[in-house]
Amino acid sequence: MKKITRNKQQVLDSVTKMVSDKNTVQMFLKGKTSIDTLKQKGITLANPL
Amino acid sequence: MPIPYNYYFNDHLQFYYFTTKNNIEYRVAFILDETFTAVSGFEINNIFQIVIEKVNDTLEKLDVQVSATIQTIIARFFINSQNSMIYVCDDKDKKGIKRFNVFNRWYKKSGLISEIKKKDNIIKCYSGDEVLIIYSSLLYHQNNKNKETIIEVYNTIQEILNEK
Repeated sequence: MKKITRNKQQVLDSVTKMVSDKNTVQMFLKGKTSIDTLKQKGITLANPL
Repeated sequence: MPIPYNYYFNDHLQFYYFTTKNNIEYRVAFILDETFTAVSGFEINNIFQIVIEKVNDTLEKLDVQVSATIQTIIARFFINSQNSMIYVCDDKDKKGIKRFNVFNRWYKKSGLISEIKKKDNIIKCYSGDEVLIIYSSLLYHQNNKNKETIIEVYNTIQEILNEK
């Protein structure tokens, strides 16, 4: 397996974005923010079913 | 198992939805997750973060058909055994552990545990003087060809962020 980065700031940024994305999508599902906002934040919703 | 509600996909807005007998609408979205790719530095596909929300904050009596419906959606998600799912609860409102435990109870009762494995990580992010606690679960199919890699990245995230 390739070496995984140990850059703490990069990992922190990624995980912070993961949590932030969830909060944004929660607002979206409640109709309190638009799909355009998701796009602006680089959030992609999928249909994996 | 209780009878699940019929659920539908909103093509335009990209979420699943169903309405309960008490006329409460639930919505389920899957975020294409890039955390594992960003952390590992190589491409890891088919990881999604699930988000489940009621449209309104109306209190509802326990409705077992809701969890049955969520279970149906998740079981269908794992028909593709290469899919993996992240469930995240932050603790900003101090209710993260409660939601985390509810999800864990649901999983244990789901009937999916023979095929769908769950690994939990409680991540403490130390950033300056602040500590952010994130309760997270990774769900993956036992036949996922990349499960060792995915688990290693998931563990690495916890290790790195738990370092002070």
